[in-house]
Amino acid sequence: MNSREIREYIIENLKDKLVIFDISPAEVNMDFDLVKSGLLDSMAFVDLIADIEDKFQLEIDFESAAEQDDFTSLGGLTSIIMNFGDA
Amino acid sequence: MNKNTALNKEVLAYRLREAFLKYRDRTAIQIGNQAWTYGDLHQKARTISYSIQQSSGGENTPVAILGAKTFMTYAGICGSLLASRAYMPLNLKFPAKRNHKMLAMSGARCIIADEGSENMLSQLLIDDTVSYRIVVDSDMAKWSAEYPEHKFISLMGDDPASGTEIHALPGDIAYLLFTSGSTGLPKGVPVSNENVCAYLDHMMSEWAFNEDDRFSHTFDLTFDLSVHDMMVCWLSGACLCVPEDDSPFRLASYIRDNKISVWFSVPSVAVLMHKMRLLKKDAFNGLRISFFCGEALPVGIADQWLEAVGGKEVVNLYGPSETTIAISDYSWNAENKKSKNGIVCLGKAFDGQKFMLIDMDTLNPASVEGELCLGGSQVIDAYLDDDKLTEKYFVQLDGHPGEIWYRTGDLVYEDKDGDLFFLGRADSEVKISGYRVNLFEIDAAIRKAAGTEMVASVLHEKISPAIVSFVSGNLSMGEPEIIQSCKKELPWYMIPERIIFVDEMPLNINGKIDRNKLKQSLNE
Repeated sequence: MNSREIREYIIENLKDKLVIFDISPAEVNMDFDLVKSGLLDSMAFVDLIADIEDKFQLEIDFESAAEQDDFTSLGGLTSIIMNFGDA
Repeated sequence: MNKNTALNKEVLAYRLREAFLKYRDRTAIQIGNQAWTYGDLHQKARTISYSIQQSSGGENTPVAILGAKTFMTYAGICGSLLASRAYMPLNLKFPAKRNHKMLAMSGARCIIADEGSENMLSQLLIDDTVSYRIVVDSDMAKWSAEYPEHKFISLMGDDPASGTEIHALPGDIAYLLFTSGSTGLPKGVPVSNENVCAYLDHMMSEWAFNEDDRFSHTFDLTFDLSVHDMMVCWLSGACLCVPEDDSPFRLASYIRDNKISVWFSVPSVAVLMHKMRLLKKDAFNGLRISFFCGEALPVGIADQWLEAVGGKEVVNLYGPSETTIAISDYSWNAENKKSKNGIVCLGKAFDGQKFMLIDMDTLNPASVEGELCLGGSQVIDAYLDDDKLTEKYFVQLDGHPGEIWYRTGDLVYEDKDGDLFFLGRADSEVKISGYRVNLFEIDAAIRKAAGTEMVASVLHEKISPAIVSFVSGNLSMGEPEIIQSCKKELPWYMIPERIIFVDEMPLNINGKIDRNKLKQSLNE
């Protein structure tokens, strides 16, 4: 698992939403905030993480993850997943 | 007790002022590391109250509160009440158009604006033909130059003699809120001092809150459950713990860092925390009472929460804004676990408040199952400036001459003990994260944007319920454009998750769009 795989998975998972919001996958860079952009509400964001956990067979610690300021950005989420994946 | 003292007891401002004096040196508000005492809050509220009174053009309309959860905002709410005026919260997260509608409908002429509200304020002032008086705490010079038609008032020095005169009466409005309406306009819900004092009397005698309590504050100020947070807390001499940021993901550390003892949120917040695996055994056993209200409380979530708080008090509250915050309660614990269809029992109406079940069509009393009607001192008299709506929802019932009953539109079941259970809705209203959403209001916004009459929004009931809108007709607009235009008109919780284009709308036997069929198609 590397950050490119994770990004690709997230974009694939959100492809319907991106169409509705008229956002091209190229715009979803590491700084892109999945929640503050309005793309996902908090429940949908947590659901996305559950999908990622299933896909990559890992479990993140939400309480410590949520303390990170960039928790909801693509880059922030990706690094959190990589950390828990390594553990 | 003389007549005036008796009347005073039914006015929120008197009660607040008593608390400000009684608890002067205790902490009233904490936001992160910053704290303000009751004395601080009183001082600022009096200053604001004085500014409101001094600048008043003689009107008695509500004072609009524009701001985030800042000290200025809370002082603005208290200051409006001390000035014998109602407060009407706006919301920085709403589209400007929505706030503008609320301002116009309320007739407000005075706005209390905190420092962070500059952007929204400028959007509201532009193009408005009404001249507002705006009380601000920050540097005014540039504002006056930019908006010469409005009057900006910096907080003047306090004048204790004139700043504390309260002449509000029990029947006067304490706060004005708006809820989703079927016509495309929000419905104004004016709640009187008498209504809110009846609620406070019940809650404060039922649950012994005390000066050492630390109250959570998860609700937006446009949501009437926020009134509970502020007023029950302050009248108890407790501390209102305001979350530093809006992140719903940080509530676990918020509870622990702030040593919250009294919790109040919509069940959706608990669902989110459950999904984040935060509701572990005894994880939050500092919470001595947890209240939930605003939407159906699922049994599984109530049980998880009960475990997380180590078996302490978990209370399901129920009540539409029209009946003031909440009007029935049910304690969920090891011995009492009544539920129906996986939803926790609503319990019984508060002492002194009344309920009745009726047949929706005949309005005759119904037994066991029917539409819930509520009456009593917590029930408001009427909607704001809308006789037609008022007549529809505030009715007289046979056998109860001279009494006004509010039709909730909630279908309920009553068991042999007189406990109530939520079954569903009788109309087009749905709940999204505790917010009332009338699907017809969304239809109206889409009709306007897309220029087609054939619009039908439905609630897609999955784990996180979402709105899906179906449209048909010859449209030049696509899904993104329709969503974008909704975002300019409607609050975030009313934006459809998807727009689905259909060639033809299915019709029911009466020739109306068959929403059930559309809803079913989502699960196919």
